[in-house]
Formats: sequence, C-alpha cells, structure tokens
Amino acid sequence: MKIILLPCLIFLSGMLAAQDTKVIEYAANYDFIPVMDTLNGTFGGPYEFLLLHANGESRFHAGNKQFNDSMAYAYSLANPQYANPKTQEEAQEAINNFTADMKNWKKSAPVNYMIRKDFAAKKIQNALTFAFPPQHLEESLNLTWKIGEKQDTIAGLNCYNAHTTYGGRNYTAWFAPGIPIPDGPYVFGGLPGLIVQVSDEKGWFTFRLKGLSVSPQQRFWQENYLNPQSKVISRKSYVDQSIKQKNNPRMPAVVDASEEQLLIMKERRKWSYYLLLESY
Amino acid sequence: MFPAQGFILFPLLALSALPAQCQTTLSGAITNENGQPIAGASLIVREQPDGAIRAFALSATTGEYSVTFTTGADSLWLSVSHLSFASQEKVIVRHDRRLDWVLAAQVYELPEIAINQPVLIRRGDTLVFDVNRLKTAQDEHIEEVLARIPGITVEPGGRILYQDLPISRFYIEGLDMLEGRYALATRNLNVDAIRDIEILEQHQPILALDSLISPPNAAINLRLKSNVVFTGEAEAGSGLSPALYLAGGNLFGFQKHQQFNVSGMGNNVGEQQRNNFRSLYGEVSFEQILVSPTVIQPPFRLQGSNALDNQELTGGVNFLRRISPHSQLKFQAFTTSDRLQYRGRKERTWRDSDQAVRFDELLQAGEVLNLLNGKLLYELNKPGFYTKASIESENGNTATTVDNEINARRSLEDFERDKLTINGRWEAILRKGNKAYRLWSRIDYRDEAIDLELRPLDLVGSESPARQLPQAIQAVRERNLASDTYTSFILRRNQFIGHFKSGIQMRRNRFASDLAELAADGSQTSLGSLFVNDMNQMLWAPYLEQDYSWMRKKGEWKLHIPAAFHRLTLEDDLREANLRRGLMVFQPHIEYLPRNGGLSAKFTFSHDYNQDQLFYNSFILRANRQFDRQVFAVNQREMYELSLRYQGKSTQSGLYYSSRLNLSATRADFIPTTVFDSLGQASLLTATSNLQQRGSWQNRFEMVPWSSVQIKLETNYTGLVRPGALNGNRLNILIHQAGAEPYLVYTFGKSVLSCRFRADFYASNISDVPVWQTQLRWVFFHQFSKNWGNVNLSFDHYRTAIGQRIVVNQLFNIRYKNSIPAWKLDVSLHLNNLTDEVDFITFTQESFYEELGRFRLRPRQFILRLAKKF
Repeated sequence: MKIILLPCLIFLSGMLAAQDTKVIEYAANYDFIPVMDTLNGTFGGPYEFLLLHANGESRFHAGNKQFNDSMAYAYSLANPQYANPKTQEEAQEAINNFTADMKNWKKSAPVNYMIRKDFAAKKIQNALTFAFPPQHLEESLNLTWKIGEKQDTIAGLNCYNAHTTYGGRNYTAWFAPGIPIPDGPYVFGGLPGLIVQVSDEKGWFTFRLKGLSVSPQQRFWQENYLNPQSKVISRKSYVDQSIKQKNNPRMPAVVDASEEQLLIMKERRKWSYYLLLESY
Repeated sequence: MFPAQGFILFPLLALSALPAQCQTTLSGAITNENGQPIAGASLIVREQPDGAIRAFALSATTGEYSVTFTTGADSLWLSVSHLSFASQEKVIVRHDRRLDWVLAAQVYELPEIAINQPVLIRRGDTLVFDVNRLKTAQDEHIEEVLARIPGITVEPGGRILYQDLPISRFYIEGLDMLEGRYALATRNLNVDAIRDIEILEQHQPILALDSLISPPNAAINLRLKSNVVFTGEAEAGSGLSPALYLAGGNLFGFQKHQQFNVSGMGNNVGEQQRNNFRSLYGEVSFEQILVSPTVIQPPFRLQGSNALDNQELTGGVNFLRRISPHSQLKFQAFTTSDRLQYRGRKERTWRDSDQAVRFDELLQAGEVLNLLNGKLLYELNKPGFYTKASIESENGNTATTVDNEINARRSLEDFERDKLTINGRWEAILRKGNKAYRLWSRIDYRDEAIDLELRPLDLVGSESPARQLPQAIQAVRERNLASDTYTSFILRRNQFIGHFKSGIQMRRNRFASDLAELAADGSQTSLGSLFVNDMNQMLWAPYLEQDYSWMRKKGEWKLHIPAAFHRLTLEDDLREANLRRGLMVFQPHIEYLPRNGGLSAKFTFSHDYNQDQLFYNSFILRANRQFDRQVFAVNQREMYELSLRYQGKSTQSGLYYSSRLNLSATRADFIPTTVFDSLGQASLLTATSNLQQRGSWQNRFEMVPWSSVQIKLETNYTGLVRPGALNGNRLNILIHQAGAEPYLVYTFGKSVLSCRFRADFYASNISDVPVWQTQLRWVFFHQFSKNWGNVNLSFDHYRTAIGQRIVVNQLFNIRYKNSIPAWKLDVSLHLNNLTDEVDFITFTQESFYEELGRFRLRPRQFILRLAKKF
C-alpha cells in the first residue's frame, strides 16, 4: 500500500518562515490520552505534547513536531542556500533535498494540535491541521472556571479541581497552586496554578502532566508559529473541516486498500489522527 | 402569645449569630521591588490556611487584579505567587478594599513530580505500545492489534509495513527466531501473552553498522508478559459440502536463552498454510517451470476457499538458541503434503491468417505435492564485527495424474517432478572507526528431474513428420550451480551521490532431456537427436554497477549504469559442438525528474542477450502438444525505451492523478517461429531482421469528493506490433488492448460499501472478432457494535463477450467473525459460493491463440471454525 504524504508543502511553508531559538521560561510535557473506542472504553496513545512559554506567549504542540521542526531548522542553517528561495524552481529544489534528508530523522506526529495562547492580548489561536490555504480558529482567552471543593494528590502534587465548559464539553481540571503557572495543555489555562490533568466529563480525552522544567533554557522557537498567511475561520468551519478530515479514511490518500482495511483506517483516524475536541 | 413570638424570634436570633454572607471585592496591583507591574501572578483567596479556594485572580499586564466573591468569614487568607517571585501571604479582615503587593524576585524551586508509567512511551527511536490498552475484545491475533497502530499496515499476505516500508526484523523478546516467517507469529500467537509492542524506528540490526548507516525500515519487537512463556492455540472447524474439515494447533515457548515454535495443521477448505512458512523479508520471486502437465490452474483472482480443492497437511518447527550475548543459532524446518484436484474446461483456438485450429479440452487432474524444507543459521553480531552464515535446503516432489479429453479423444499424462535446492549465504562486515567493509556472497545449487509420460503423444514440428505415438515419455534433468559475491560502497559530495557495487557471478548448468517412445513392455526407444539434449552451460560474469544522482536547480538527474562482461561457454555433448562467447552487457538508463511540472522522463537503452534462458539445441516438450526449441547461439537484443509520466495531487479536494506513456522498440537476432496444426504446436527461433514496437498509455485518477466517498478510475491502452512467423509465413501481429476500471467506496458508520467495475477490450489482426470482458464486484463490510463481531459480503459478476457469444457467471461469499473473550474462543462462519456457481470463466489471448477457460469452483459451502487460545 502506498501512502501519499504532504511533507513538501508543509516544509515549504515552514522554511519560508523566519525561525530562531528563544529562552523558554517554562516547558511542560503532557500525555494526551484520547478515546479509541467509546463502546469498549479503550484508549489510544498516549501522545506526548509540549507546552512552551516565553514572553507572555504559550505554545502547545506535539513533542515530535518540536523535534522535527528543530531538525528542519538545523537543516536550514546547514544549507543556507535553500533558506530564501526566490523562484518556484529553487523552492522545489529545497523541498526535494530536504525531503531526502528528512527521511533519516523524521518522527511520526499523528496527532497534530497547534495552540497558541497570547496572554497579553488574551487570545487563543488554534490551527487547523492539513488545511490549505492555512486556517485557524481564534477565540478569547477567558475560560470561566468554577473552583470545586475537592483536593487530591496527582503526580505527587497537591491539586484542586475546577470546572469549565469549552467547545460544547464540560471539563474538569486539576491544578497545582504550588506551581504558580496559570497555564495548561491545549486551550486550557487561567487557573492559579499549573493544570496537572484535565479531562472531559465522559473521560474520553485526557491531558496529563508528565514533566516540567522551570529553568530558563534555550529552545527552538519558530518566529511565525502560525503561517502568516493563515486565515481566521469560524468555529463552524473549523469543526466541519475537522469532521471531514476525520471521517475520510484516505487522508492521507491510500491506494489499494481492502474494505476491511479502509474501515480500520477510518476507525484509527477517529482516535489517533485528528481528534475532534471541538463541537459547534 | 409569648411562646409564639419566641418561635419567630429564635431563628432570627440564630441567623444573626452566623457570619453574614456578603459580596466582597478585592483589587490592587502586584509589582516587583522596582515598582514594575507583574503579569500573570496568582492571587488565591481562602477562608482557612489550607482550606478550599474561595476565589482567585490573575494579574493583568498592568499588574492590576480584581476579584469579587461571596463569603461570610470575618478574616481571609490571601496568597500571591508567581514563578519568578517569592510568594507572599496575608491575613486580612473581610471588607472591600484595595490591596497592593510588592514581590521580591526569587528562583523557583520545582516540587518533585511523580509520574506513573504511561500506555505508550518513547525511548529514543523506540515506540512502546501497551497491548492491553490497544487490543479489543474482537482481536484474535496480534496481527489485528498491529493493524490498529498508527503507521502500520498489514498486507493480505501477512507482510507488515511501517510508514510504507516493509519491516526489516520481527523480534520476540529481542530475538528473531522466525527469520521472516513472522506470519506464523502474527497469525497464531496468543495476543494475551504479549505485554508490549515495540516499534524500533530506523532500526539497524547490525551492531557493526550502528551510527554509520541508518536504514529507513523499522523493526517490531514483541515483549511478553513473562520471561518464560508457553502459549498456543488449537483450532478446529467443520462444514459442508462435501465433508469439510480443518484442524490445527501451535505452541510457542519463550525462555531467556531459547525460543521455539511447533505448529501443524490439516484442512480441505482451500487454505494453503504452507505459505505462512515463507519468508516475508525481501522480494517475492516467481519460478518458471520448464515442463508442465496439461492442467487448468486456479485463476489468480479467486480465493482459495472458492477454488482450491485440497487436502493439505503442514507442520513445522522453529528453534533459536542464544549461544552467547552476541551470537545465536537458529533452526527452521517445515514439511507439507497436499492433494489437489483441478477440473475444468478450455476452448483453445490457434489461428493464423489462413486457418484456425480449435481444441476443446475437458481437463481433470490430481496432484500430490510433498515438500520438506530446513534451514540452519548462525549469527555473530558484535559492535566491531558481524557475520551471518546460513544454509537452506528444500526437497520437493510433485506427482500429477492427468485424465483429459481433447477433442473427444482421451489423453492421459503422468507427470513427476523432483527438486532439490540448497542455498548458502554468507555475509561479513568489519567496522573500523567510521568505515565499514562489507562482503556478501551466495551460492545456490538446484537439481531437478522431470518425467512426463503421455498416452498418446502427437508429434508435430517443421522438422519432423507429423505422427502419433500411443505412449511416450520425456525425461528431463537439470543441475544448476550459481554463485554471486560482491562488495559495495557509497560516496556523497554535496548534491552528488554515487553508489558503486562490484562483484562476480558464476553459473554452471547441466541440462539433459530425452523424448522416447514407450512400448507396452516398458522398454523405451529414443525418438532421435531432434528430441535429445545434452548441454553444458558455463558463465563467468564480473560486473560493476554504478548509480549516480545529481541534484540540479530545475530537476534531478539519475544515471544507472550496470555493466558486465559475460564469458559464456556452451557445450553440446550430443553433437560435440562448442560455443564460446565474450559479451558485454549494458542496461543503462537515464532519468530526469523536473521539479516544477510533475513531468518526469526516463530513457533506457539495453544491450543484452537471453542470459536467463536455458540453452537447448533440440526440441523439448514443454507441455502436451507444445514443442519448443532454442538455438545454439546467443540471441542478442537491443532495446530503446522512452517513458514519460505526469502526476499531481490536490490535498484539499483529495484528488490524485497520474498518466504514463511508454514507447519502446526492440531488435533481436532471432524471432519466434511457430508451426501448428491439428495435432499441436512447435516453436523455435529463426534468425532474421526484425523490430518489435510497443506503446502503452496508463492513467490513474482518484478523488475524494465527499469525506465518505472515494472514486478511483484506471484506464490503459496497449498497442503492439510483434514480428513472427506462423506456419512458414512471416507476419506482423498487431494487437490492441484497452481497459477501464472505475472503483467507488462509500463508508458510513461502521460500514464500508465498495463497487468495482472492470471492462477489458482485446482485438488483433488475426482474430475474427474483438473480445469484451466485464467484471462487477460489490463488497459490503460491517463492524457490529457491542462485541457482536463483523461481517463481510462479496458479490462478483463476470461477463465475457466474444463477438456474439456471451458467458456470464457470478460468485457470492459471506464471512462472519466474532470472539468470545470470556472463553478465549474465536468463532468464524464462512458461506462460500452461495449461488452454487459451477465454473469461473477466464479468457486469455496471446499473439496467435486465444483460450476460454472454465475453472470448476468448489460447490456451495458452509464452514464453522472455532479457535481456542491457551
């Protein structure tokens, strides 16, 4: 079976953007555990995600994406002749060379959320993966939290619970006031302590803290996190397109698969590729 | 009165004794010691030091905060914290007020975080999946769990791909006992015995090449729940009609220093379990059989359950022993015995421009196959040195009894084939710093004996008078010894990559055949030198292969230059004739891949000869009524081929399309010459000037118009002008062949419905009428919810039109699968050929003959299978 991927186009947009490193104030690793089969209650993953914060801005994306992007950046430093392609031919040449090199180190990132929180502007940007032209959802950073009465120890930390509603789902978060970081995974944040774990009320989607660093450190930081050409879309458009991607068993396109395989791939995509956390 | 007033006043007094609940607002600014605002600081309001959080606020970029809450407490515990500043706490009296905070800078000390083991973890390039979290109640074997892991594809034949590439190793507890025969494990190993599945990305199994070469392929490692595991499965099934059975079992044992597997199975339901013992590493090779009996073979499109009338018994053993931390010894063996029945009918027509000869063949054959295979392997895998040596031997015997009727005349055949192959492989790699030296070598020996007895035999040919022998036998013996040894290295400089491989091939072949008349008393009388071969063939071929790749701004150039010098010696012991030739063989091609238009081009030139062909100077009987003869000469060929390809895709609309155009011209020293009459056919080679031209155009179009619908369309056309000689007349055979195949898939809920239509057209200048063939295939698959299993329904409709003549047949199969986890039992129900179709129609056309085949299908069948894990 042959799978047709789109690394070239993704890379092209990435390479054209300016990139650099930055001193990160804190970096948290989260495991994302999505439901695989809601009937049987089985779960996929976990998929490792990274929360990075610098200069009042947080970014949340797959750990493998951070690795792949940093490797691509290192590649662009080692090959400055491809950094600013002026013609279509030069861009194509850059893509071809990069694609050949990438095969040696590229890591799989099947779940591809990209969330940017701008704390100063109180804004959340949520990129729509595999969208051409680039598109993203933009919402204000003002989740309304209701602090609960419960306390628990999670990951060795004294945590309090809090409830909120986002995207049509009710979520419960456990935050640690002992870690004074008002941030968390995905779009969640704004609590008086780092969110250690957050789940929806059905327990289908869980983000769980697995590591934290608060020592200032130099990390890869893409200047244009979202594509500068990315357009703001409505929540309805975001959800519609996400559902279309999710239901399409041939995304990325697969040639010559049996009916049983197509169904397996469709099922697989439901839980492993681009999970729909949003609703209208 | 007073008591009543008391009842009213008491609750009021009681309420007044409680603190009054009222709304309180706190606001202020949080700054550092220099008076600069601090953004993102947390202010927490509690009523008790470690009590519940009553309210909280986060400071804005101006450092300002404001929090409003309801409380009845007289005093409040406030705390302000920030990652870069020392926390502060204050106890205040409850009332609205402004409260400013000045925080002192401080390095934050992270509390200890205790993390539990996750379901999936990554260790370097290794992904570890917890099987318990991945498997579902419906999963029978590890193959189904593997298929669910993102990036993994399991092909119908059992081969596993990860990120589109075949896996390079399949380990169980770090040991590759099965050496490519991993379908035995993925289809039989009890999933409950496995704890984790590890995917080793870019796995380099050879320690001497570690960090030097990073292969793109991944490997899979299964981790078991215990260091010592004995697990297995027993399977049984039965059905009708006729009486059907299948029974089998397998046992796996895993210990720290050794592993083993024993398995065995018997069935008559059309399954070829011996395929599980074939290695899935490397490419699949197809064997060309020199002499064969006249049987009708199952059409390749059909599943074994519809076509194969078998009685198979297969058993095998695999054993691995770890001798030291770096070395291991493996032994593998399997044996199979099968009894197959082939029945059907063929209408074969040979025609030239003047005449047509038709054969109506009623075909019935029984075949007995026995096979024994053994392999011994030693591997030493150290960081500085690697060596692997293996020897594999296979001994097979096939006996076929044919009872045919050709044009209403009985034709009997007894065919027997004994084959012995011995294959040796040796590889050594020496690591010195950042360099590695590799030497690879193989040696193959094959000994084959074929006897074909025919009653009667019709002799036909341009060089002998046509006649009929009541009984004849042809004995063929071939021995072949071949070796190949090479060394290779890679060079890369900027945009230029070179890959060089040099080595030497040797091949020695001894071939003898004799066609004799068989008398009633068993004595044999040879038919003479025209039907006797006694050949020796020797080849020494040093070779050098060069591959260059050059990246340019507008495209990439690729140049492949395989060059070899062949020293060929042919000896005809019968005629005491020798032929010694030195030949240069070139098969270079140059390819250009432009980067802006999606159009690629490739030009190939080939200067070659019939090197893979067996040389024989006299006629041999390839099959009943088909004589064949080569020449005692080298048939050199020159070929020019231009290939153009255009392809593109649109991710947004899910559109993919490609178009390929191939044009080629081939010139050879000899052309095939065929003579046929009502008795049979003979082919030989004739030296004459000739040119074969061929053009083909293939298109592929795929799109996903809606998320649940996929459409695919493939079209092809081939035009061919082939020179030949038929019955002494030189002619150019012109063939037109075209096909179209639309394919539609609709997925909804947990169901998939697909419809595939195929139409083929064939016409030639020596056929009276063109032929149309169509096939319509519907497949419906549904996964039931709540552990009710899944069902697969397939319906095929075939229609063949040869001029005015139309043949139709259809095939309908249903399969249901489910598991009962509580009993560790897998259940499947098969309903095959529900419409009880008798034959499966095939139509084949070659340059001067056409053949309508009707293969006898297995009748309507019902099979129930149960598999119990332990």
